[in-house]
Amino acid sequence: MIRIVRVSGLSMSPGMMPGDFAAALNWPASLYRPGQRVLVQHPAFGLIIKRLDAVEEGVVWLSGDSPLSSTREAMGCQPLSALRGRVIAVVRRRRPG
Amino acid sequence: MLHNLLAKMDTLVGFEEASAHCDIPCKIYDPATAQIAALTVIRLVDLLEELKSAPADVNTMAKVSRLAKEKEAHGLIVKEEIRVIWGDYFKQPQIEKFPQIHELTHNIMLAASKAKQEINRDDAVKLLELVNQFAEIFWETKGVATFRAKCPYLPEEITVYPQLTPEA
Repeated sequence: MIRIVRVSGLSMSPGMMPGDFAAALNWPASLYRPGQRVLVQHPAFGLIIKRLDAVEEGVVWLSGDSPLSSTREAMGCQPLSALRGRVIAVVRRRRPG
Repeated sequence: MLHNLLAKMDTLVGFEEASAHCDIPCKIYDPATAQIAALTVIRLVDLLEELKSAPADVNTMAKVSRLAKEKEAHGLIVKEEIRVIWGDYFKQPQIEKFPQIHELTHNIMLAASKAKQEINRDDAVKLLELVNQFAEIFWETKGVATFRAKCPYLPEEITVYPQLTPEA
């Protein structure tokens, strides 16, 4: 199933900017790899988009692309079950200039 | 093109928002905004009080409505600013040192609602006092001393200011 979300915030910039749309595809847990952009249901931050930093036994570490993003330690180690899909496409908002 | 289409669908079905922000801009917190909003609530109460003796005509009604709307808005600013500092800035070390911050924050929420509901100067002054206490704690967590002084403009109420060291 594909889930479409509207992006807010800058932590995934420059690849994703506020107002862009992202499509996330249900992804088999065994196929998550570091470097993939994922949709995550985070217990503190709600629904977020991040990049997989590391995939370990049943858990993942997340990071943002922008140096402004929360650190991976602040986001904590999340269970694989928190992942809600892999981002397969981003539709950018047209920007002036 | 595709973005336009999705944006139109978004207005119709309302896609979920996925947040790619966590605490940006990082570490910029200052209770001054909440304090100024609390002072503004007091000032607006004073201006509303002044209108009590004004003729009950459409002009007065328009003024009352404008002032009440602003009072409402600034009460909300107090709540939002305090909530953000409490929720985002205060972490375990600060909470351990100042465990009263939870009750104080909650009291500010209640006092701000009360100040919004009525035109009552005492309520507004009480709100400022609680926000001042919050500011004192905030600056203490940063190791910055504070002092109390009347703000140099109306409503000239006692406000907490950080005692910063001037650059040499």
